[in-house]
Amino acid sequence: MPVRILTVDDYAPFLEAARRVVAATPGFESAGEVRSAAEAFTAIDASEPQLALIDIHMPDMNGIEATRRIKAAHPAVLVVLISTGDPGQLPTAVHECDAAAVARKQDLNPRFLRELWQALQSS
Amino acid sequence: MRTEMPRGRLLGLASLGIVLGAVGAAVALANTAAHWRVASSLAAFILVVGPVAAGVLALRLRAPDRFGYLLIFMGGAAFLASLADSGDAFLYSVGRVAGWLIAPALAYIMLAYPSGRLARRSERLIVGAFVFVVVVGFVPNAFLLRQYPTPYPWTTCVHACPANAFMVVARQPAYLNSTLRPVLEVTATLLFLSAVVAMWGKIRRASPLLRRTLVPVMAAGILYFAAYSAYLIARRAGTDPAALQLLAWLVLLSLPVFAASFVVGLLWARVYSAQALERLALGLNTVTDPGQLRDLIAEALSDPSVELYYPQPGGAWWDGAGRRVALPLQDAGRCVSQIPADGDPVAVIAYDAALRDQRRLVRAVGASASTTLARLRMTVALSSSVRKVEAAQGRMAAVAAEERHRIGRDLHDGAQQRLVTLRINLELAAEQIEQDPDGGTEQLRALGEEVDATLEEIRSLATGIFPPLLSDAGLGEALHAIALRGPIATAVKTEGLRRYPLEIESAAYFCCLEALQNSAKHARNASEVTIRLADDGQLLRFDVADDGAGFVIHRAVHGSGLTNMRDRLGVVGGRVWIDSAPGRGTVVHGQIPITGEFGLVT
Repeated sequence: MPVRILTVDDYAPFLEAARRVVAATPGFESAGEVRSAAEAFTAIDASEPQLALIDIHMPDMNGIEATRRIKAAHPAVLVVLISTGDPGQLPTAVHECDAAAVARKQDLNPRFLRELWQALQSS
Repeated sequence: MRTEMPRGRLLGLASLGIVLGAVGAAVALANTAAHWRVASSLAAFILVVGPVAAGVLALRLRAPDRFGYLLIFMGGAAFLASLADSGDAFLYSVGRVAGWLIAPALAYIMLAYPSGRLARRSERLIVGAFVFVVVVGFVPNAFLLRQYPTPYPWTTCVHACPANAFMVVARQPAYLNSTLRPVLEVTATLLFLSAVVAMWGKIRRASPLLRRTLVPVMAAGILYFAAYSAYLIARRAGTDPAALQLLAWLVLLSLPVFAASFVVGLLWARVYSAQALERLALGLNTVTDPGQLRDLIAEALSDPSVELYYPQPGGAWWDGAGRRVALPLQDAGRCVSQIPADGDPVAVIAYDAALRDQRRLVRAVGASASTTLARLRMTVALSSSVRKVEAAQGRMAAVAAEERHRIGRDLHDGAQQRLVTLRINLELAAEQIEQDPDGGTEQLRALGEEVDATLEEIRSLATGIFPPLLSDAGLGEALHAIALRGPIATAVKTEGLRRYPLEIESAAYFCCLEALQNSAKHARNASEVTIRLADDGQLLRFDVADDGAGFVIHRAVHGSGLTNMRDRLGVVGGRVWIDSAPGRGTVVHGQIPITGEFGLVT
């Protein structure tokens, strides 16, 4: 069974790149690329992915708040918060919400995806 | 506050004057030879009524009271002196003695005009000498003389005059005519002449404004004393009585002329003041800046050198353009009048000392201008504040432009250059991959690291402009993050901290950052820095304290760093100050109001 990944980010070119990374990674399948938290809730309610990659900085709702809501409704979904910034420069709230991990957008590639999934499974 | 002289009293005095004048005229009528009768009685009447009328008017117009009463006294003395026309020995003697009182009174009025006081020592000396000579020299004569000296301006009798009714000794002493009288006459003449000189000096010293009132009054007085001196000299020299009579008329007539010119002077001064104040009052409506007000006041006082100075908090004084002035003035040629005269000054008028005698007019001008002055004072303070704000804005604009320039340069020299190189290498890799797939792939991976480095550079630049952590999580977390990266151990403590509008958080953040950087750069032997932030409901307070060597504040050069912090906080209505002492470390304090205009973030 391929791992289904939902990507949430307001920047379209990144969504396109993420789609291509997922497509290029064997064993992973895209559950969708959406541009806002609202769309993400709809998509998750429709069909629950195993992993959601959510941008921390979004105009309608920031990633941390979105994570809380998703985990409240769908506790099984693993949420990874992504940003362009230095993880050390992120608000402490990031580490206190129920996100499974924090990652840099620029690190996204097939090998990283596999390693991330393995790490999440083992913890 | 001088009260109005009751009308009743004024009328009473005026009536008394007329009655006395009539009596004097009657005495003259009864006792004078026919061809002099009309002239003498008319003269007697005018000599009494003139000064009394002038005195009543002076009291009515509220000139210094002294003048009014003195003039009335002079009228009374003139009445008594006119009794010298009488055929009765007693009345005649009274008249002769009374005549001596006129000269001191006249000298006093002349030299005290217009202020009512004798300002100079020479003036006091002259009047004092007059009184002394009359009391010690002339009055005892009254007990010793058989016949008073004739001719005499106040009487027409020459040879058939009555005897002295006050004589107490049996015979007139011989020294009287040989020694005493000549001495007294010479003394009197000298005194009269010195009074003339003193009056002349008064005219020369007066301001051009005052001269116009002084000259007629002084001229009459000078005429009296000069004519009387000439009369005494001519009489001693034995001039024929008819010629003497001419001088006598001159002496007599200068008194009513004096009274009249006194009144004219009073009225003229009031008209002038009224006109000046009227022009001033009309002009005050249209005054919009201190320069115009100064011009208006200078015109009202006819003194182009007038200046206005305004008090500022802290005891300093500023002129109309906001420049500092030291008061009291060091220049002896200037006088200063406070507006209002009592209580806290709204402004002062500095004017030429020649106007010293016009103090009342200056005060009236000041009082009229008082509201306008209060209004302009606020304008002056405002323009000073505006100048300060403009200066701060200028500095901020310069700093912002400098920052933008730096950012542009950093982007150009750093990130842009890297990307350009990257572009070239990507193309090379694309070509290489066709021939050598492994090498090409290797190349691409390497370029990926180059991109990482560029990303890091841009990220760092963006954080320097505005750290994302600050807008994400607020002051506490943002400052904590920089605390972790600094060279000195830094602790961040917060108390009641909330989120605030962007400009407030930004101002506080960059101020603390600057203070931290200063501690790292300048605080010697600093081992620890503590940043404290607290919100007390009204103010967001922060301080950055290090335990370094400290410095002596007033001797330290306040570099652009402190000005920068001041400007940043000033824009959001806050302020910053530094406490430091050698050995006690340095604390940078700051506070920003969070109620009112800037509001709170909900």
